[in-house]
Amino acid sequence: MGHDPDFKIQHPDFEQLNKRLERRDFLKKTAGGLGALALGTLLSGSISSKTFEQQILDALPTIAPKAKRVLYLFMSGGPSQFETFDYKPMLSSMLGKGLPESVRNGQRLTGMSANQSILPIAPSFCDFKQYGKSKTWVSDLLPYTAEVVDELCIIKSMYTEQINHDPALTFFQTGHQLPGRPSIGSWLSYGLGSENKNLPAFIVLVSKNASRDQPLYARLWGNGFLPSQHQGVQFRSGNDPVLFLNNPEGYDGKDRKEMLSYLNKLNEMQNDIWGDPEVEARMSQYELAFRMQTSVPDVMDTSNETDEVFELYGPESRDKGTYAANCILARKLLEKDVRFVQLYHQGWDHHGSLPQGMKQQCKQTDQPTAALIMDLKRRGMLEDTLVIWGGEFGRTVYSQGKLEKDNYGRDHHPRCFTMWMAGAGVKPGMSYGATDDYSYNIIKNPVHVHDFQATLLHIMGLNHENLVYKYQGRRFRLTDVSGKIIKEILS
Amino acid sequence: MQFIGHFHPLIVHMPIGIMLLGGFLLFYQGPQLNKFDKVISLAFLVGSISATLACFTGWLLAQSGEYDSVLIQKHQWVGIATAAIGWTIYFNKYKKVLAISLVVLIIITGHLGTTLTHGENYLFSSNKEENIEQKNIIVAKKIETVLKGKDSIKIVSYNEYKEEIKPILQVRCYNCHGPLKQKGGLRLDSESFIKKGSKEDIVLVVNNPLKSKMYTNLVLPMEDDKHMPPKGKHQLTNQEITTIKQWIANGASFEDKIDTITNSLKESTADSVYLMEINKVKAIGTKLLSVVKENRPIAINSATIELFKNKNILLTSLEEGSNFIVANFINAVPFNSEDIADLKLIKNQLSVLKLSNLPIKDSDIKIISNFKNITRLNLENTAITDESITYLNQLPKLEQLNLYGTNITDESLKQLSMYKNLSVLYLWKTKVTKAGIENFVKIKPNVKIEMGDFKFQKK
Repeated sequence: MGHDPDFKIQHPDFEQLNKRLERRDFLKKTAGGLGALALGTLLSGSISSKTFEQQILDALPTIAPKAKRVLYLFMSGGPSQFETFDYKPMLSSMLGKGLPESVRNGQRLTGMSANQSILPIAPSFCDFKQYGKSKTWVSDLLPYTAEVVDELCIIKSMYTEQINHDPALTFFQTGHQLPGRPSIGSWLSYGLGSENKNLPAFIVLVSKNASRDQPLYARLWGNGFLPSQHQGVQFRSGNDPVLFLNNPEGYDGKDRKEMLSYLNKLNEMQNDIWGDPEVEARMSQYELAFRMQTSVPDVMDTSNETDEVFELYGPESRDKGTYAANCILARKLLEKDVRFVQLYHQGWDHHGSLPQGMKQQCKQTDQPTAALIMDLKRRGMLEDTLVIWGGEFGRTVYSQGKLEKDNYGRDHHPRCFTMWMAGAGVKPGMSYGATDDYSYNIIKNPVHVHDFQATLLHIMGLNHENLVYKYQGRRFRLTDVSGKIIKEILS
Repeated sequence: MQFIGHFHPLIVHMPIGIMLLGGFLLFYQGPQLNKFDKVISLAFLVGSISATLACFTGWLLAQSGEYDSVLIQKHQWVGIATAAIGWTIYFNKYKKVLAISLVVLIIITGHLGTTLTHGENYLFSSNKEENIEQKNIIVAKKIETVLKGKDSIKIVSYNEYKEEIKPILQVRCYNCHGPLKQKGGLRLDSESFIKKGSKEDIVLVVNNPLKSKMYTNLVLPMEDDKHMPPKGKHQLTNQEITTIKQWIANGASFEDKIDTITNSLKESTADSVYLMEINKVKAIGTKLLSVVKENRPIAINSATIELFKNKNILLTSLEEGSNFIVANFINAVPFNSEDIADLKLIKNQLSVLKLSNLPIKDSDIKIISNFKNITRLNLENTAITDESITYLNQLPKLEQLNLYGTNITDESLKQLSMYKNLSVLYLWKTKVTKAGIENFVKIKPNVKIEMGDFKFQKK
């Protein structure tokens, strides 16, 4: 196989790559060079000439993007639907009664509650009221969210395939339960690129004020097999928000630019020889890191925020690294047109002492979350920002361990749970899907994790079936081999 | 007798081989030597007998009526001529001259025969498969736009038969069920032939693939006599079979169908068009396509994108494939007023302009008011005053305006109440008053105003 000189993919990046390839024998290239061409599946159109009608068709959008940015508030651990949005009044009279076998229907349980002699029903300790014009039921643990409920599109019929934290988290973030695939933010960075050249397209913030009952790992915001500039960058609270970004002690940084430009030359030479996309990734990361030395301290500085803002987000918002403070930070990042901001708040895994735990978790997150929505709205950003709130699975109707009226625990439940979206592309004040009286099975409009992901990509203007990356001989997608768009919730 | 006819394809190869060998030996032995004479004589004898047999079986086969009559006539007469010349050579006259013409005749007969069995273009059709597969992927939809005053309706129509079904039939079926050959009396190369069916039966039952032979014969077991295409011929892919099944199930339409109708202003107007027949829409046809062309800005070139990129101004498509542009000045720090002037290079394409948090002045806005296709303008936290709002009235398509954090006053609201297409207005942290808003809402009740006055009630 020789290098066909007429072979062209019509895209500036590839014309550039082709130009480099022309100078050298194609066969001398490693697989890395060919790997770069795999990008073509996303970027190149049809090479053949098109009819006029086809051209017009092409000029019209197949998908109109509604959102430019995503804010994903990940409630890690699996928040209970019974104490938040999924109101089940029938359960109040069933305290301690066994879960009917006709409901459970032989479904698997986790090892933590599988050997309980009885699965006693635990009614929610919370009061529910209807709020807003949409008359949505919300638990009294979420008084602030209740006030903005008309902005939310609540999905009560989410379900996942995974019953434990690590695979379920990985499944939600990457579309597959085994580690190694790119995270949602990485796919968006790959598919849409970065708007702000001084900040990464995918930024992660982890609350410091949550109990670390279940761990988080950097691979949840990893780029998988996508080029490494698409990985999520974690911003920490404290003096060193991005690790290794500051100049080391004893170095004034004056010749940093000169050093980097020389390093760039060397990398350019390597890139010419090998065409390995990782070399280009490294080059762009060095350049970005250099610019981030000024842009990051700037964006992390909340001293210019008014008292009104801190009051809106609640008392904890002045304490850097808390969920509330991260919410302010997230808004600042979105204002800078960062494509995908993801907040993680751990501590939702309440196998025991759930009432106490839920009270604390909701107290930490309720007000800042609601404030963030209204803050985005008044700045005109909610119309092109998609906000997502949710965990990796739900919790069981029955108590794990000892059951008292005000003290009980709930085990993992992947068969149904609640999450919500708000802002760009989704209908405000909507509730979608329904569960049975025990919130054990879905009875209406089930939404699989892949369906959720397909819908998310659709709102960002991407077709989940076309956003593919060829790796080790297979074309991979965020939604693996399934996923359908939930058209009913789209605005 | 038909059965004997079926031996024609077997027998025809004998005269071709044997007589070609005879002709070859005739020239090979040279003018003087005659050591192959007996062999040559035998070759032409056997060749001529088999050629005659081939003519006879061929005639029997032709009686089935499955073949194109003009072509079969040609094939028949050239075949008979071949046999006749074979006999003449055997009886020893003008051997060499006749032998040359015999070779020519064999080639012609053979070619005509091939055309009958394998269809036209068989000889040069090695790339055909690839072309077809590509064609199956790109499904052309037809876009038409109807203009009603300022309103426009876009109709996307689509002919499934022409775009998807015909190409499959062309490659997989026409050879035996086309203009040249009609096995079982069936032709599949036009709507009327498909609807007519075969000698014995109809092949298409609209909406019912399970009763349509056109589908069921495709999915019969390979061993079944009725399986199509016959064993050994190129089979249809699963996808192609599914396409045919769905086409039949969906009504087996040969007409253009309306795919989607979209309306830029009101959804309700589209309903009346739904009732319009596609033919009426088609009648407006090409003329409308040219209207679409005129109203759509041409794509900006990569040099322009590069030019703005060097100025740290990010240009992206409004939507995938659209020629309308979003210009974002987020990276254009420090801001330079000349960059605004450069936007005239893309003035027809510019649809969304984002100038947030920059020291934009009224004089900059004056320039921007020339870019008529702007629908959305972000001017939050800029240095503009009421003067800017008087300029922006010249943007006929402006729908969304973000003015939060600017010094505009009620004076601007008076101006804004004259904007025709305005639908969303952001006014948090401006100098407008409650009274000003009330007056504005009276004139423009449908504009969504965001004042940013949200306060939590729970304290």
